[in-house]
Amino acid sequence: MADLLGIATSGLGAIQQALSTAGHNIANVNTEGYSKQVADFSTLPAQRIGNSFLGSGVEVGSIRRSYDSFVVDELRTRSSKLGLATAYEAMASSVDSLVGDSDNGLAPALEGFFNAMQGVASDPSSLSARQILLSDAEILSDRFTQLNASLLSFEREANNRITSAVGEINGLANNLAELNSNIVLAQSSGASPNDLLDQRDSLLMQLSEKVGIISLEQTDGAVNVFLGKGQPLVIGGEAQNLVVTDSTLYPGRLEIGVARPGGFTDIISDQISGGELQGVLDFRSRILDPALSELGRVALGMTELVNAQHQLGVDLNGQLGGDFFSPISTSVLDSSANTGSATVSLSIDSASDLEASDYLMVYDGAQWDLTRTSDGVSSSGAGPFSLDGITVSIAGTPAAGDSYLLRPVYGAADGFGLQLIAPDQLAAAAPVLSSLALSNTGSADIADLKVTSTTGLPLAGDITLTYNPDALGAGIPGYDVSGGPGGTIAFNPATESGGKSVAFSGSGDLNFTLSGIPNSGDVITLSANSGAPGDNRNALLLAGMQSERLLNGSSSTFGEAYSGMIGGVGVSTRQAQANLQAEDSLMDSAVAARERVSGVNLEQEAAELVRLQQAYQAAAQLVAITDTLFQTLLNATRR
Amino acid sequence: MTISTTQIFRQGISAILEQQEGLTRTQLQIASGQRIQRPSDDPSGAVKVIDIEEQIAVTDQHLRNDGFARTELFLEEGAMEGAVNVLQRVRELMIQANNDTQSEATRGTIATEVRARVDELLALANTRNASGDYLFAGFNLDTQPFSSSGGVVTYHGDEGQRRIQVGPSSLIPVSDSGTDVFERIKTGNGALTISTATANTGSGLVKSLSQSSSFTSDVYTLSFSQASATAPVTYAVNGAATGLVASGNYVSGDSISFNSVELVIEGEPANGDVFTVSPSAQQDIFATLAVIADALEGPSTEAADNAKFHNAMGAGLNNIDRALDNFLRVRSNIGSRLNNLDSQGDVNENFLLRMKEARSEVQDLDFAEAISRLSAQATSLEAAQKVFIEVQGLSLFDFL
Repeated sequence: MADLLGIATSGLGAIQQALSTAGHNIANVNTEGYSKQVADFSTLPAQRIGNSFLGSGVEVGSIRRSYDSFVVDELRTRSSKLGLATAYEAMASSVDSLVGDSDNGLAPALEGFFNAMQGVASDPSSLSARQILLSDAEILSDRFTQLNASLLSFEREANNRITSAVGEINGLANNLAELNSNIVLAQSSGASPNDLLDQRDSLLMQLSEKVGIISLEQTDGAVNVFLGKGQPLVIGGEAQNLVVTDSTLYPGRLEIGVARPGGFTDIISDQISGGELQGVLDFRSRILDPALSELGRVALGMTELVNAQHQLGVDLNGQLGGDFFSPISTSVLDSSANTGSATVSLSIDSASDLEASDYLMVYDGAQWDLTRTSDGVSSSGAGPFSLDGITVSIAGTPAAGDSYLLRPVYGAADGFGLQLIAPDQLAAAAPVLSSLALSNTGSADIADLKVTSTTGLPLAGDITLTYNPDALGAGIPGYDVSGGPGGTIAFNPATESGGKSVAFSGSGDLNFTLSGIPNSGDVITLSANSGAPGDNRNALLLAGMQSERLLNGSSSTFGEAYSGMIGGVGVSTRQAQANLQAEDSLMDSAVAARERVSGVNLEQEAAELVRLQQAYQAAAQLVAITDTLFQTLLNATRR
Repeated sequence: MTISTTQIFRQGISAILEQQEGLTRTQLQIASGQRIQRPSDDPSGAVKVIDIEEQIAVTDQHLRNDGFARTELFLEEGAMEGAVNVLQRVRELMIQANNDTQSEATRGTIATEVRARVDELLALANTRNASGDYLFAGFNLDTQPFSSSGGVVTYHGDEGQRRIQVGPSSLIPVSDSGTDVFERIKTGNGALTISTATANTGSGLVKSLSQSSSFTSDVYTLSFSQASATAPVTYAVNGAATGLVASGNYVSGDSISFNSVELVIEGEPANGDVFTVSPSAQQDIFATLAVIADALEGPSTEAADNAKFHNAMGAGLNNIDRALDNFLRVRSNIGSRLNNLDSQGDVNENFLLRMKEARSEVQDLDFAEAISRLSAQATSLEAAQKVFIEVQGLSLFDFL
């Protein structure tokens, strides 16, 4: 009888525990990271009575988590990728909105500038047209600097995100280390500390959202955590904290590092893979740097090319044109870790051939290795290097491992500014004027007069071309040139009256076309042009630069180079959005997979409650029966 | 398969959120009327829109330049029309004066009018536009191009020709230099000119001077001689480079030919009279007119003076005709530039229209599509919300 009561009470106890487990499940239905717990019943050891074993009741053998480590690992991987995609997309979208806002964009300002230049070309003597050009140029330079500053603000945002992510990672790592210790302690008793394990999984999830991790479970129950490429973060009960440190090369840029004994900091940014951190690092190198370089290339290209053309003109005061825009200096940055004494300098040869990229130069002890960062193309040698419209010269002695960052175009938009102060300094006129002598009896003509360099300008004196049927010897006709380069120009009216191109060397490297049928002694005079307010020839050339493909190896106009940058940002953002969407749905299915295994279903728990309640009622009935049996026995023996 | 309660909730909510996002996007598109809100919506479309807008801005500027060019050309055409009228009036006056019924006195009156016309022409050559720039000064448009001092007119401009961009590759000249219009004018018939020596005493009158295309260019001196009063008048033509090319007895009205040049002299040239045939040179119109006015004011009563007067008138008329040719050439140039502007303007307008169409094709929203999309999305959202409420309302606990 006592056994029966024992069996009944064991049933009551076990069922109560199972009910509690179901209640725990119901209570935690909304707890993030909670895994459904299941109470496993098992029979108590049977008693041997005579020839048979008599069962002695039930107990809850274990309360286990409904858990699949493969599913959880997959979830963490997805979470890292989603963290990356989310951070990358968020930052890309902000840049996308910024550059897509046509009111703040460069395009209207570029159009305004060139339209104003056309205005000057139409009415070159009008001071007000010139003044409008200057103020439109101011607007253009404001747009350049503003756009540059707005883009640079994303560098700060990236720094902030890195700092706060590293802070969170350190906090999570410390918590993980502590939980590891607690779990090892709890597990030593043999029971599974389900809720602690859930908490740890939850921390690992949060951590993988910030940075990609690899977690390895140890036999004692602790989990060791490594960053993407093997950098340990948590080993048992110990956490290795990450630090944020200034980049040795890039000014104003933060990198992720690990403090080493002796006060050193190892930079491990390139070991990060996955998570918000990599999202931010990717954004910096794939969207921000290219956009700033592309913008800088337009700014530097315009400055160099417009200045060059402007210098080939003459202003209202008869002076040769100066710089229209302020010259922009390019930067070479030494790594703070350099130990050698080399000086690297950078000069622009051809603004048309510039690439929108930085260049990284590293000395390996024997030679230099120069890498274009936009596509990783590299060349090596002793230097100097000439490529992509720049020349890199090296002086002094480098040490192995020294590195330099060359930034021909990055950030150049910040230095974009107007150099011209007064409207009369605009060189709208061309420096050389041609005239035909009134005494000419033939039809000698000259056209397409163009200066192509500032060499020999302004002309020291008139250059006179006199037609002479025997200029180059008896019967070989041409022009005798006096002044300028001197000598003779072969010109045969019989075959070349339709036009012959002539190029001088020196004297502004003049190009022109001779035509017509001159008579002996006919004279064409080229003279210095000064103070001709109606001359718009240089203004026309300046205005024409708008539709000339002058950038990117002569394949884009200024406007196209800018719209190309916007297109680049748009494409990257679109990719980021598509990627985020894909990661989102992959994450959804990973979550669904985990929920299938570990999620709490209230209907299921309700059914469980009903089942357990019935079992409990039955076990309670067993107590009542035991009591009845006992009373029967008492009554039967009462005398 | 078990689905956890939170998963059911999450799925229901995310379905609703997704529909909401789509709805908001459509709403934004409809509100702005633009398909592309940000470059990432359609990167290549966004780039296209920017490039098209630049084209539109450039074309707009070309159309503005077109208006400017028209104003300048109309002004120049007006001046040229005035100049042609002046020359035609002078021509009429000369023909009137050339008539032998006129006396020295009446010719003097005509000379006065010619001089007044010269001043009128000078004023036209110094025409300014609305901004005070001189039309015929070349690039030197803030300096008065023609000034007269002691009857001699001097040009102060240069030979620059201002051009204006009215199309991607279309530069239209909007000015002509004073040299080109008023100074670079050939004398005579354009190839040759004949002058009468002032010392001539006979009444030889130049009737005509012509040449075939293969004529030899040289300075020819035609001199008459008469051995005695009864001897026949003979002539000899000597080329400066070609030597003696013709000689013979002079017959009034017979042509004298040499080196493909044909010359007819009438009247009675005296012994020692000289005419010079030389290649045409350039002479500005003011000099031509001054010579004419001087001739009109000169003596014409004596036979020799009368012949010189008529010869001067003949040469003057030739020179005036060359100037008229030149003025008409300039006018027809202006006309063809204006035609050019018209056709370029049409091209620009068409291009602008096409570009605007292209922009709208890339950027503008298809409203019909968007609105039907909006209502479809609204229906989906409503359905998702209903399903969510339905599913959330079901619980076994309601029956316990």
